[in-house]
Amino acid sequence: MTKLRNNSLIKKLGVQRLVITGVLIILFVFFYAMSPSFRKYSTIVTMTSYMYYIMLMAIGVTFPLITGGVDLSIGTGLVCYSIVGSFLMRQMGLPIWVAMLVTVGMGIFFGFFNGIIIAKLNLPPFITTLCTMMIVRGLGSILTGGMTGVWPMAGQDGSWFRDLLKYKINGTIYPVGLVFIILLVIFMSIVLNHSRVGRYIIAIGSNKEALKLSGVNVVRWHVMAYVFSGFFAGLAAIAYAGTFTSITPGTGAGLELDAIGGAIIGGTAMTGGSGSIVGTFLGVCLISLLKTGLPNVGLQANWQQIITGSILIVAVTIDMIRRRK
Amino acid sequence: MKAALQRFKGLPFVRLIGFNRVVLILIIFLMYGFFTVLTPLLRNGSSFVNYNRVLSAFNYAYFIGFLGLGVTFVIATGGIDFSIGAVMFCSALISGYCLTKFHLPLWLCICISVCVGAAFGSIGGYFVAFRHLPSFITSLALMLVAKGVGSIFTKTQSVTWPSSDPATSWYRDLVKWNGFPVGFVILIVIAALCAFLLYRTKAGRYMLCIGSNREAVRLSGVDTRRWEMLAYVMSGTLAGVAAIFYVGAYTTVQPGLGDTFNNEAIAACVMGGTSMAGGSASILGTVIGAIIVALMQEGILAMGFTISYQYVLTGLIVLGAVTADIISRKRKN
Amino acid sequence: MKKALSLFLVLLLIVGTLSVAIAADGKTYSFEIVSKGFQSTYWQAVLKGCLSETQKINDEAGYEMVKFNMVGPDSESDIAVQVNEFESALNAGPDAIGLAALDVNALNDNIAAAQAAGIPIIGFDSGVPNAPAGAVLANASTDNYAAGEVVAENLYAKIKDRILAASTPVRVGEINQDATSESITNRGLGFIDKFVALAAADGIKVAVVGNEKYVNDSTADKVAEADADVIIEVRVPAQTTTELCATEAGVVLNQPDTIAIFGSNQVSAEGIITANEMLGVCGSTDDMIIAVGFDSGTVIKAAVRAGVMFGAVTQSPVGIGEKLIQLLLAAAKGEAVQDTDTGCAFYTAETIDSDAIAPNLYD
Repeated sequence: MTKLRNNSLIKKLGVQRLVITGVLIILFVFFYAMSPSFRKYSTIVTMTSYMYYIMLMAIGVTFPLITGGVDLSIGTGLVCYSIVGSFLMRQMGLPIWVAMLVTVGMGIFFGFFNGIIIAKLNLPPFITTLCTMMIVRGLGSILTGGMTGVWPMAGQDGSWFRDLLKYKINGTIYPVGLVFIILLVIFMSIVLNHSRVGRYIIAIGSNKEALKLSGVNVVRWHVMAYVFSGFFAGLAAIAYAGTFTSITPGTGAGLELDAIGGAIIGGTAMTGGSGSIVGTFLGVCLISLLKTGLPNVGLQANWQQIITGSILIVAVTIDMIRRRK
Repeated sequence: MKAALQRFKGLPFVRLIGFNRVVLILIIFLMYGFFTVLTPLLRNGSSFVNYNRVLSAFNYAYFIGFLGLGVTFVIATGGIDFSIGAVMFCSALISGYCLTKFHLPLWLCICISVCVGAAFGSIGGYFVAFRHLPSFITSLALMLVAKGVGSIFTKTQSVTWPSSDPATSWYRDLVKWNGFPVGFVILIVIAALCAFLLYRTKAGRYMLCIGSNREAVRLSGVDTRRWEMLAYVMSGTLAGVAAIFYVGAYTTVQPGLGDTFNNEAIAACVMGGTSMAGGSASILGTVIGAIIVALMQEGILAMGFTISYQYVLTGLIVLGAVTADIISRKRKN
Repeated sequence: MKKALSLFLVLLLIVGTLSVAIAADGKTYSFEIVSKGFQSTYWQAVLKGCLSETQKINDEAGYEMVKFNMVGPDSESDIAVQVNEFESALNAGPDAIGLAALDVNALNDNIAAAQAAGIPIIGFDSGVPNAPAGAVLANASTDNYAAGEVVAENLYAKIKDRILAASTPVRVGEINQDATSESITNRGLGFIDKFVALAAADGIKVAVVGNEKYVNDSTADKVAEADADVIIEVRVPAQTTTELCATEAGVVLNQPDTIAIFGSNQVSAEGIITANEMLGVCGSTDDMIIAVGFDSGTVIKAAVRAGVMFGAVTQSPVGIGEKLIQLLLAAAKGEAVQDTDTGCAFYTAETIDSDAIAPNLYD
């Protein structure tokens, strides 16, 4: 009787997520033991700060992935939206809340753009978002005349947005952003699993035809998945600006791979139909942990890449084996 | 009008290479004409009609073309290969390092470049075909590994292939010899070989089958794993070949880069008519697509616009091309 | 259909006539300038310098004597794009070309073509190092090696006493955006060599560890890590992005024995500042890590003003732009031109607003 209950408990938590959590703990202990600089509180805070924008992108991209698609435009999108936001503040003197609205608004717009083309015109998501990625990459530079984007720094007008991510009390920095992230993860998890839009998105991924036949307006929900992705790319743009302050135009290609990789490690299959926001959260934690821990253990940057690549393969192989069973 | 179109489509030449491809070739001429007219207007004194420009556009088209040819195989099987740019650079770095630091003969270094590419392709192909890993993640991971390996081998330094000493720089003649675009000839020859492999051999036919109906192939009991792996090996090998043409034109490679070329190679491939769903591929289309991508960059820069415009335009045009392709497929059905 | 065609032709005619009409008056010199990119606001400052100098010349002459077109790839690693842009610049048939080469070898053929066509080339910023003889008439650039030395001099003066008073070895970090470009490697090596030389004069032994390019190419008198009083740790990220520079900087800042850190260009200096935001270890007093950077930009300027960054070396981007136009005009007219070192200067919170420094800083 206990055995059965344990089994279903494990099933509920998700084998993949348990495996990831296990790997996270092992790696954490490893880095803790091997590197004195890793043990510092500031390193953990740094790790969370570098994690926010990837996490937001990953939460967003989980939705298109669940529909069996993908959104490659979030990386260059992040850069484009934040540069435009910076342009509004610095060149046009608008207040920061306007910039934030526009940044997120652009994300929603391009998400909608992607969604319509994929859902209505039936173009393959990969090539559609690849094209949007290129369009957005050039658009940021064109709109702002190639100027580097700079968001308000500490002490300037509008720097309160940084406090959303980390707050200093008596000299210690508290990663406030982490609280927001966890709340978002819980909220979006509920949206995914218990709301109508979430359930339809999962249905699109697992059996689109059946959903269509049942009379549901599939196009609307399919587009929503990409709107989510774009919306979170917009949020990620703000988070990126909050951590790194200056954004170089034309960059960003490659950021989406961290996010998508995190989601896939977390158990969201590329074929669609199943996925978990919590899993995505754990997957991104794993990638961030590698990104922070490896340099601290003294590895040069190129070794970091090889190891990250290898771990990705291992993680996916484990996922495959699990699915096979 | 419709009748004339039908008759045009019926012409043996058009039927041989496919109506879509003919449209693409027409697009090339249209673009060329467009740039020729606009360049002197937008940039005083500048002229687009210039043999040097054609050569310089070709320089960009060669390595994109080879990358595109390689990835055509992979996309034909329904997969995707993100690692081609990084593998190309890794091959160029490793073989270049052998040339400049170990002073190995040039022909050997060219072989090394191709072999390094093939090695990466084999690794990726093994994991996708035999271990059934999703190609997206595998090629992504392979990209990271390729970047790291290339960087480690050259100790994070860039490698500059020699360009003065004739004994060690005849590789540049592969690209251009006395003003003659040798590279184009080589591209056509290798493309023809690829077409033969894809359309006329058992391996190629299986690759296309895997792409169009994986379940049916699996149920038929035929072991197609090695043919799927071959697709990735082709992708890697051609990336190694592309490396030679990249350095032939630009001589210096830096570690850690190469990602942007992925997008352009895939764009060239898809523009040419290869379907991302797999099962349908066009070698000729890929070559034409590569020329279009290169011509577009050349033209936009010639008119005085920044490279950002090229990104936007390439994105829009590929989107348009894929839309047109999908609409024409729907109409066929 | 026919109507549209004729309308289009009329428009063409109008535009064509207009462009001919504009180029009336005296000879207009048109220049093409190929920069390294617009990746940092530094290049916008160079553009500003070019624009202001062009305005000045045209005002004096009374007509548009000089006009120029500046292009550049998006990032300093887009060699292929710069080659294409240089070719396009060449094809536009300018009276002279300004070039800040990312890679001279890739441009060799085109530089030779420019020479053959009789178009003079003027190098700027990092110029065109190792160019074929006679192709580049002059360079308006910063001596990057000397700039690195300037940083070392100022930093050493600041931390010398701390090193002498230390009982255990101390660490000085150097974050270089890459190990490949001329300007970065020269600055990095200039810093290392000068620092070691200054330290040796005071009897301090220095070891250099980290990225092999800098360790091996440095001509300084290094010792083994075990014997050193000061360890210079050189770190280069895998790719030249802000996040990776920040990560590498963070590793060095986290070491308990680090007392100073140097970022050899705007991106790496901003990386240091970003990494420090989490850690809060950089400052100007003796118990904090002394950070020094390069160039300016909003983030660095704010950090220097706040004392988070002790100081930085500024090049003279506006000056480079102005000098470039002057040299281009002279070369196009056939006058003799010479190399110009546009100089660099170290600035701190005290000197940042001075007349000598302020005009060179940009946002």
